[in-house]
Amino acid sequence: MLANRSTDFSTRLREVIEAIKLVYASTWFEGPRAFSKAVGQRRQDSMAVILQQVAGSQYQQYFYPAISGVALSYNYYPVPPMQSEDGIAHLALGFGKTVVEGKQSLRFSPAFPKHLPQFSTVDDMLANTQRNFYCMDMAAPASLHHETSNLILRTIDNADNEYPVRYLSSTYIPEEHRVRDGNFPGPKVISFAPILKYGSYPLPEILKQLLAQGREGMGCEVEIEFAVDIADASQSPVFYFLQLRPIVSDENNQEIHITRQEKEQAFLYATHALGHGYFRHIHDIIFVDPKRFDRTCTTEIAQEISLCNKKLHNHKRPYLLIGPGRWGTADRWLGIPVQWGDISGVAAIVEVQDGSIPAEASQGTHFFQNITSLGIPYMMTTTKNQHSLQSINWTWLLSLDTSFQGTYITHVTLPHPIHLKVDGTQAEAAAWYP
Amino acid sequence: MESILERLVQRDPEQQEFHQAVFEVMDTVKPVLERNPEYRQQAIVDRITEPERVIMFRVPWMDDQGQVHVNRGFRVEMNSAIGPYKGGLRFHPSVTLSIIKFLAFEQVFKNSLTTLQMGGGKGGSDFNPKGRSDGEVMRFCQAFMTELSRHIGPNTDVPAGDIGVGAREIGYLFGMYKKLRNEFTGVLTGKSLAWGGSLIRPEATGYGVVYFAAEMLSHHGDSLEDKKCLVSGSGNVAQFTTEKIIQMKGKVLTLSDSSGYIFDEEGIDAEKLSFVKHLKNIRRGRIREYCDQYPQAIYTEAAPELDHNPLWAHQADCAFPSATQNEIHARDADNLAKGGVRLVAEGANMPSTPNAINIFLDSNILYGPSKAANAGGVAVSGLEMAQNSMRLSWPRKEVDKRLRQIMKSIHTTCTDAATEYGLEGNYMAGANIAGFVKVVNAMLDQGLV
Repeated sequence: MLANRSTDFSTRLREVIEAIKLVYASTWFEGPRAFSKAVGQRRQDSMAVILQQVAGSQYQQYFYPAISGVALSYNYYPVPPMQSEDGIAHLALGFGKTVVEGKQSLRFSPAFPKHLPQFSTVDDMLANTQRNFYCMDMAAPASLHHETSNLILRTIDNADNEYPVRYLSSTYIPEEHRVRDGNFPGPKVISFAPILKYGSYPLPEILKQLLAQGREGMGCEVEIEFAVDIADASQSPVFYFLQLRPIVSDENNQEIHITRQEKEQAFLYATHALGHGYFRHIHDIIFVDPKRFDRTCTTEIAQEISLCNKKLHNHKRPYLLIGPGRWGTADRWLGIPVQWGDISGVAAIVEVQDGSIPAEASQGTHFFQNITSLGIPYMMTTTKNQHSLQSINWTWLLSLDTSFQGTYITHVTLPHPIHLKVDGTQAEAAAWYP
Repeated sequence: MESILERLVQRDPEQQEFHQAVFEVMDTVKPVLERNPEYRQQAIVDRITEPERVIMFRVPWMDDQGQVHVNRGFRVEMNSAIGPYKGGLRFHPSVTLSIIKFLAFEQVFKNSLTTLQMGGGKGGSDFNPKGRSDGEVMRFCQAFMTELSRHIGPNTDVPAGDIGVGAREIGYLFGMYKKLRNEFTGVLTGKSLAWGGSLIRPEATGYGVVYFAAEMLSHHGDSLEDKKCLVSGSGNVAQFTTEKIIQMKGKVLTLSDSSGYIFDEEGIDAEKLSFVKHLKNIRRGRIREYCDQYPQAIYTEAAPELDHNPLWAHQADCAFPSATQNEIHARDADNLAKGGVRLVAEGANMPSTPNAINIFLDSNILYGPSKAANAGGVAVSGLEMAQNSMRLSWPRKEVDKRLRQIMKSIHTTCTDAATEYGLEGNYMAGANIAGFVKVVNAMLDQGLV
């Protein structure tokens, strides 16, 4: 991005030329090459560099859009009442680098803008709210080391007198431990409430329409990038439709089909699965043996899992985790109360709903956020599923040689990786050992 | 006793959580039951383990899409021997009758210990507020209160918040109660300040634990002045614990978060604490950033592979575990004893493992268990009820003064009960016995009702 603020034309031209060279050179980096390969582009294909006006307004020496974001027409991690086809959007204040880098942004379905699992409680809001944002420092000399080197990171509280922050914030009232929508004295929580809760700007409707038209026009699921400039109360907001493209088609996003044969040979079959992909890198399984499970000892079980996780994570051995009740709960009666650090090396998670713990399917927000952002499959099994296929083959699991046998958990290491297919379009998953 | 507990299990075999809570309490008050034949003759264990009233009801409500849902509502009015039923409402999918009974049973003794006139109860629903819109939460709260309003009142049963029930939900519940009963009373606590809430709520637990510690020291002819204190955590409890220690002229050396801890030999003063509050409450940064601002402090990364937390190995006089459950293990307790610590006051809920507690008691360390030391939060709920009854809002200073008085009373109650049963200096036993004895004596006074 260029500030384009020099009064000298030749300087501005030189900066643009340098920027174009930089963009062209970046196509030789590993990431863009992998992307090109994934979408079937060849080196011989022509390439264009498009110059776009940067969306945003200037607030003192800083330039940024009030909102930037990405919206996808298909959601692989839908949480009720959302449906996968409703799509999903991520919003952030300032430039979209926040969203692209997976920093704190707000996730919502354009069909249900008032349903914000990340903001379910005051503690969730404080934990998940955006605290930093990217903007361009118009006073700093241009430096083009890489495509975003002109951007700086500012804290939200540093900009709480600027209109976008005031407009998009709610306020935390510590004395009452509550968040009030509106700009009051106190720490700001970027909630996008005027737009998502009170419809002061029809962003959800715009995104719904663009996603539907994009899907229809391209004949596949699409991803769009956008920005909204809201300079001050006297001006109408301006929506910038920055980019539309097919959803990136890497290995984990390819079309997945679980065959009847795969289901029949599976030791794990789930009809409630979140995520998508074909995973063939998991050699280890940690499971809570149902016969050893004791609902009064879930804290101790969490400690055993944590120790096992540490060992596997250090050796970079991703594992499949199987256990009863809700993972990531803070309530020891509802499931095994692991925190993310206790299972940081996990590759896929199975929540067994066999009636031993009365819990709804997991939606734990912070935990769920990690699962979503890391693309970790999350599967729920019941004792018997609707297809009468065995949901978990405990006999096979219990017959395996153990690497570690704890009081409650068992760790097995297999010589070959298991095959795990998760079909996000059907919310179905199967794992088998070939 | 065994036969009573067997009957309890036979009667409600699926209520495991409740059984566990009863077994734990009964185990600690065995000496009391053995010494008082009247308790046995009056079947006090049978009576205290059976709720006075269990209310279970249907909660039908409509979501934003017009879909009707039905949840189950509960209110277990466990014991009103020393005051109106008092205890939180929990909205969470895990809520069952067993969970609510277990929580209500524990609440009876917690409330009793505060020395305020509050009985025990608990309620809630298996409604999951996560991901629900404000409108859906409001409609659920209104449907819930439509039934609950028949059973509660400022002199009958005063619910508060708990998991899934915060200031927003309390507001919706209160509004519906007011509309249905056409009365503005202190029927719920945890209200907003503008319409009946109390000041000092965020500070209550942290301030309370320091007041309790000050009483423990004072009982032994000492004070917090110039005492070197180790504080773990950097959240609400740790921040206000630190604030009160500074006000009482103690010196806080440490604070921590899940990544590690800082050690500041010069002590964390009011200005440094203000930086920590901004760092943790507004910027939500990591505690290691403290060392960027104050380079003389030393940051130590958390090392989960160790069997101890080096924070507790520093030389100090007092320790205030304020981070999380089970954060002090046996080795930490050993280190505290070796490091010269002579007082541990628990701000977090049950931060010390049973082995660690035994080491404290064996090493003659003054040990203030969480059920007594962190009762400040419950105490301020009681003070909110008192202010509502008088239609007054006390200033901060007044609430703070009364909080200190309550913590002093809790301390006296614990020491008296422990001494009475030959367990002098054992605050854990004192707290368990005192809470129990006060309730059962009130029950006996009021006859077989």
